[in-house]
Amino acid sequence: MRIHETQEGDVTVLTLSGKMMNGNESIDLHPHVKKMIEEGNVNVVVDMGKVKWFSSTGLGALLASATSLRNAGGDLKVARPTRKISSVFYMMELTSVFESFDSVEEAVASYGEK
Amino acid sequence: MDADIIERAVAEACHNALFHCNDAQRGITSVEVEMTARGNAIRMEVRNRGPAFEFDGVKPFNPDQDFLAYKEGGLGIPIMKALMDEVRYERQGNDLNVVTLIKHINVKHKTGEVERDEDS
Repeated sequence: MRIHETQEGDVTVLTLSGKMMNGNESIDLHPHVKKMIEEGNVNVVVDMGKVKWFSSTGLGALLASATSLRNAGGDLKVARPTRKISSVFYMMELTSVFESFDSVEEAVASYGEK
Repeated sequence: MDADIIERAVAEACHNALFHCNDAQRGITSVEVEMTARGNAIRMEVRNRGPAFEFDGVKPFNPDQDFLAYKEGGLGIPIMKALMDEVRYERQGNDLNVVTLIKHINVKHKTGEVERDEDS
């Protein structure tokens, strides 16, 4: 899995691509987010439109990242979840945990609507 | 959506089987998956030989709990339990693990035709 980071105002967009598999690849996400928090970046959009495979480890890393960001006063929102990811979110009642958007632009704009 | 859900649960069961095999089996172990459909129920059995693992004692996923506990894994069995209608683990003989996953799927009318997602 690759993590590409861009900044949109005070919102950081993390574009994930490849496979969020079981193993070290997915675990990289939480340390990446912890480092961002140390740098003061706590409002995050995770763009999942290019994620090809999503495992329990990937979901665990996403959940832990959301918790760390919220504990730091920020948030983690999801953009462009694939159908497979949306299905898992729905079945695990995670639709109330992750605010999801059809586009990165909508997800970034939602931070200004607080 | 059912196809996505079943795919995810079976993938987690397979990963669990491979993750819990011992060092001697690592790289040479095999996992058997058998899928049968009867009525509106799809049943998958995932079998592997290896050490027994904790299954029934693993708590179901709770969306209100502290998610930091999952930062390095531990969601495989809770995901299976959340996605499937029935999940069972059985230890057979000295070294056979059998995980059974059952999902009831939507069936159209009385024809027995299985409802499918357009892009499944």
